[in-house]
Amino acid sequence: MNGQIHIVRAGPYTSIQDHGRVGYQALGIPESGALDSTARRLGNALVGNAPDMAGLEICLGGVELELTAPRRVALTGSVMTAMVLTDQNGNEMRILSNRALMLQAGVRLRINNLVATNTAFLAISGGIGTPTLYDSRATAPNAGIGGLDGRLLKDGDALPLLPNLAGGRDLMLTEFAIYPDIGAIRVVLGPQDDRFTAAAINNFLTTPYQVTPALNRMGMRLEGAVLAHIDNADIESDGILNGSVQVPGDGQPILLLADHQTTGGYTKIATVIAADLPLLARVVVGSTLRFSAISVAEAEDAAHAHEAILTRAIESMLAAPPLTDI
Amino acid sequence: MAQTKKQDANFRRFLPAGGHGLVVNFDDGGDKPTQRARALARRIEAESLAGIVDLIPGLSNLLVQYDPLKLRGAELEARITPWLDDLDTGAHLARRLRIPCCYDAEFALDLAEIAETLRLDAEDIIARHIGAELEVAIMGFMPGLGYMKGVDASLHLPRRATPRAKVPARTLGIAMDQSVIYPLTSPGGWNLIGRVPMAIFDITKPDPVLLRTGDKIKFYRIDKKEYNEIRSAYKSGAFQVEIIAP
Repeated sequence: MNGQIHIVRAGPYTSIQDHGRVGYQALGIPESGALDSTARRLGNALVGNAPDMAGLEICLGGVELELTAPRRVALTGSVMTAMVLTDQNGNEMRILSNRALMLQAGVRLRINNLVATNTAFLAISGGIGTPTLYDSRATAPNAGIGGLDGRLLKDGDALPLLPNLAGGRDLMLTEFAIYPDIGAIRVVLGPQDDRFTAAAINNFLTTPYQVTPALNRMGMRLEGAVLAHIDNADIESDGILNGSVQVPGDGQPILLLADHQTTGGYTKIATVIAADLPLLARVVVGSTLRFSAISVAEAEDAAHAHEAILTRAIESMLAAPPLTDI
Repeated sequence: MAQTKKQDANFRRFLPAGGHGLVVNFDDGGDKPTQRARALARRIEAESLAGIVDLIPGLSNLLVQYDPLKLRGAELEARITPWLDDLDTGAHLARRLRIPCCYDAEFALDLAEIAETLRLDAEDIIARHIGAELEVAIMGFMPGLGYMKGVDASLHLPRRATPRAKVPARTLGIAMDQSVIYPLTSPGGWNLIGRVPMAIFDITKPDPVLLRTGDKIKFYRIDKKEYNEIRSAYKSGAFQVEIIAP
């Protein structure tokens, strides 16, 4: 028995996520995986895991849990959010995100409202050991697969832990350039930008779009200046990617995220570049997004630049100062 | 071998998708766009190009998802281009599946209504559905769902104006020139005409997805008793859909 995570309070939208089911969309299997892949990789690095190990994706906050065996944990995806630890004697301690610490069995870990982000990632050394499907433990709640019984976590769940093979030390992040402000989200126009009026393209790239409450792991509905089609919104069904911006007949864009359906029949005005997808995981309801268009080659360059920053951030992690015992 | 026709000046073969996807467009007026998209996917797979993440065939294009750290869209276009005029659309590669279906009223919630709309007898609709050989044109929307084209022209209908909030898993629907089996219980707007006794998406199986693009499908009719028998046989592992390999 490797121990378990006891979910005392699950919060509104907490799920088990890893790198996702990559390469099976031709079978209708959504990719899923952590919305913020940067947070997943940073968190796993902080606790000494391989980058694709499963942890908890927390949305909005409100999570409390305990372990039955000690594990290193780290919260990433936010600079401002803290973890609150409470021991059996009621002693409390606040730990900032982006550092690892050894969480002892029976110590309560609480994550209150996330600050300045929609999601955060809690990495656990060794990873969560729920069953794999198509090489991944990621939960796709709408498809009912992955994670624990294909659903979001609920109060009282017990999640199996894998053996903690990572030795080493508690690490902390020292390179925060990996958390840029959310500026204009970069897109490449297309694949069906030629189905929109010039005014629509202009609206999309020059006016703000508000994030409506219709935000989940499948995507976000945005609201703003109408994106008018030249003729209509329909295409012959084809594949969708993480970051596809599809526009149905009402002219309001839907930005598709990790659990998106694998095919669809709406025109896609643009696609968010891979390097900016993790930023979308931080976008909160009610905020506004702006989009800027770049070329394919620039998008590919941006992927290399993002990877370089991430690699540097991981390589420059240092041993964290010890915590007073709790 | 399907040939690409000469295209009009506005035709774009390659459409960008974010610097991590490339759409190879076959909506060029040539024959068999769906089959060519699928054939290109097979070719790319066979060539084992580094940096390919996923290949997602659509009705008239192929979406190639790539890892921009390993492959550039421009390189990908250059590699693919020479293959385009010489794609093996490969009807000879198709698997043939015989799928049992119970068309009893209990499952065929829309059969009476569409019989009225189409001015056909319900029995005629069933016979025509069984009579056609369907082809899984594409997979998508949800795990294991195949869009099966080739429904008899006399049965073409739009989807229901108001989708149902809940369609039970394994229900068979028709709309337009297509038929689907719902892999999971989900909302849905297709006209429901029956139910199959075995799962088409089953995570307890080593290969959870039954259908593949290009599969040729024939339905055969079973009554409620046979439905129940096959259902329990499937649950105990004693029933498998008959698949004739190419």
